[in-house]
Amino acid sequence: MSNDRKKSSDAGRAIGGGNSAGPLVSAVDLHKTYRMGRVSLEVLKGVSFDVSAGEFVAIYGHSGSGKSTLLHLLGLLDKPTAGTVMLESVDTAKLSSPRRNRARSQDVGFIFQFYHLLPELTVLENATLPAMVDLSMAGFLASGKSRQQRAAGLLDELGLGDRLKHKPAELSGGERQRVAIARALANKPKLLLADEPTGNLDSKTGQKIMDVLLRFNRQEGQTIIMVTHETNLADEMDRIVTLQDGRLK
Amino acid sequence: MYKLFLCLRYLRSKVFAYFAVLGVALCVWMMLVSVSVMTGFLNKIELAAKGLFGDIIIEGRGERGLAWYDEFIAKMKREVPEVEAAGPFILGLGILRVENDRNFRQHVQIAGIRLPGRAEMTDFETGLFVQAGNPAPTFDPPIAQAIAAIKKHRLEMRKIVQREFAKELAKLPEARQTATIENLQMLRLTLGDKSLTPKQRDLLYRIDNAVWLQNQALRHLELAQKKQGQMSRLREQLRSAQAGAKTEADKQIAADKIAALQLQIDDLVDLTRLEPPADRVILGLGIPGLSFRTDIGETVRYLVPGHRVILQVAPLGKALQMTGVSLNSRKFTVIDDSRTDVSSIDSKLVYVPFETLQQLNNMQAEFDADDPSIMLAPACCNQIHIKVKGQPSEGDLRKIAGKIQGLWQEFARGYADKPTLLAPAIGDVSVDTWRQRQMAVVGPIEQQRTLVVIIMAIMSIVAVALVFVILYTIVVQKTREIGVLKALGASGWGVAGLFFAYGAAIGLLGAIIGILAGYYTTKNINSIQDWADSMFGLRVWTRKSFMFECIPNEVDWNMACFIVAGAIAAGLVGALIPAIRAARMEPVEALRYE
Repeated sequence: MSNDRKKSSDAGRAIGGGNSAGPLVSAVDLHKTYRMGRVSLEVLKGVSFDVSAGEFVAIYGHSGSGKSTLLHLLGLLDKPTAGTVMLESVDTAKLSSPRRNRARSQDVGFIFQFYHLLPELTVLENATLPAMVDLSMAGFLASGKSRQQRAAGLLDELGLGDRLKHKPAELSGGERQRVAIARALANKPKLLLADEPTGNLDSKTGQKIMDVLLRFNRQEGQTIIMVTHETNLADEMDRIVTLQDGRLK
Repeated sequence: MYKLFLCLRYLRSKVFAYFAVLGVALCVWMMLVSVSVMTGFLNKIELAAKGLFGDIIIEGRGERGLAWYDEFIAKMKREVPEVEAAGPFILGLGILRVENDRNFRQHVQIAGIRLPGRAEMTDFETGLFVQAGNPAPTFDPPIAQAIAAIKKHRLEMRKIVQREFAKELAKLPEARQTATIENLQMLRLTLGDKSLTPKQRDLLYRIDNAVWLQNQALRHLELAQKKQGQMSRLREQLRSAQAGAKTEADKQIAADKIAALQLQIDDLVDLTRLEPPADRVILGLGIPGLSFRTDIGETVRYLVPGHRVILQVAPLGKALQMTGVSLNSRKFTVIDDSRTDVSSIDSKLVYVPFETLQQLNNMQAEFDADDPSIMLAPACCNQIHIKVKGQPSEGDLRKIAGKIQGLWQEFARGYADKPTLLAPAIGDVSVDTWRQRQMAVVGPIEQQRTLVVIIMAIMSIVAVALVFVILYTIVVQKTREIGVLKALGASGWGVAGLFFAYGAAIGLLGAIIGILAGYYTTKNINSIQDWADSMFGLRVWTRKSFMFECIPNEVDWNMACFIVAGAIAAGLVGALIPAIRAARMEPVEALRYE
């Protein structure tokens, strides 16, 4: 599935063209300030870096250094106070709200530390959810079957082939995180963002998740940005971006 | 797509969503039942009023009455095309007595009606015992029909006995069981009194009594039937005797023969014990003492067609002496009975031929004793009942009533100079629609219905609040999942739509359950009431206060549609704030929510 997944992924993207020469995603002087009543907390104080297609980048830093905030900004889950995120040379700050939603659905896949699976849905339904969000009722009737098969294929690849009908509550932490990976990859995003995906797992299970991500990166060229505070994990990746007090070190 | 999918999934897995559904269902149920019953009650009043008195009623002022009614009816039929049928009506006061019963007397209202014309204006024929559904009922139906009706009634009584005395009958040998039921008169002897409950003993006594009385009437009818056969043969002979006489001598012989035959016929008329058709009465089924009702509402008649009664009428039609009233008394044969389900009518009214009551009420025309061509007073009636073509609205009826009023004034001018010395005159009349006449009853009920709707609407706010609280709780609970959905690309309005759909689904589900429950409750409301009565002695609906025999049990489907719409609206309103809250959250805010 590797190559055709890459190729066909350009169709219907929110972020256009695919300028292969430039970086896939760029953080341009990102600032983020949180207001908590009278106190304002400046979490990011001007962060800039580029990630090219096919890279596996670690954002490393101690807790409170702003790395999760940075990841949220890159995934369009939050808006920066100043600066912008360029996705394939498109300024995401200038996107309309529907296009932003579409970019979230199509271009970015997100893996959370605490999995965030929907407890009422089965493993397969969780993995098919991005397709359901993406498609209208008519669209889902037309192509839902193939999208579901893709989700099932991904889950199978991740070793969950016999767990499709299970509810998240019946799975172990590692299994849940693998479901979350399948969900993040369901719409074939260009960019996979992972927020401490192993943070809630024991080291052995965490390493397995890490192996999965590495495999997707190495074999299929999936661009991944992963937040971690564990140096041994960061060392396995192409590049480490270290955050300290809201700035790159 | 995910909206519908998640909405259904949440409905299935969120147990406390069921409480919201239940709350909505409860409101829908209560509203549907109470409004249906009240609407049904109003419809019943309308049907009863129209069925009894027609769409429009002309009434003379006071007891003097309306003169020249037939002339006016003819004119009206010519000049007011909307009028389908019309007929005169007299309502008199009197005392009803039963032949050979010194103790029974009951004050009644006596209606003078013309048959079969009455059936064209009203639903009079539908509630008849002997002539049920006959579009042209008369005061002289075939005797065989009356006998058949009584025999059919007897079968119904057998069913009551079989049900109420099932245990006692089971103790008897099989042959005697059948014999006992076949011959109800043997009932008391067979069953005995000792082992029965007081209630059973009472029922047994009543049925026994009814059978005895009915048998009397049956004997009269069977005798009359037989004699009628003989009579028609004698009449045949009479006719041929008259026709056969050609010569003077023949005629002489024939005359003797005719006289003898006539004498025989007159004897037979006496023997039949049936009064002539002009002196027949149709009783209201519900006059106290002439029938009784079982616990579950079956009626058993003591008096049936064939019995004779005496009516003593207070003649209100002419100027009364200041010192007293002498009652006009006459014997009548009961020929049918009428049930309208309006208990105030069934327990009070008896019906006699119009012209008969006119005489008894002193409303007939009077002529000069010396010169019968001089009319001193025209014949009168109390009311004219009018049936209008089609299904006119109240507004239409009022217009037609106005037209008729104008027509009457024109008509009255034409008769103003007629020499009617004792003149009950031709004067002012009132022309009212059935609704105007029933306003005293209809008005308060309509207001009560509005009140009930308002009270229910206020109660429904509770349902809205319930949906709100539950949806809000769910939205709060699912805040992080909302964040996930948004991270997957769901728009704010999409997520809001999910919760709107959820609220609407709760409303719709609640409405469906409520409507179904309301439908079954309304349909079976009378058995429910009977059950409540027998279990807790709780009887809300009494015949006395509500006029009708049973609680209306038709579902008001118009109202049901409004209620469904209201329930869905309640769900949507309840979902409004939670949905907006869900829509406005930034994904990361929602994800971080603890």
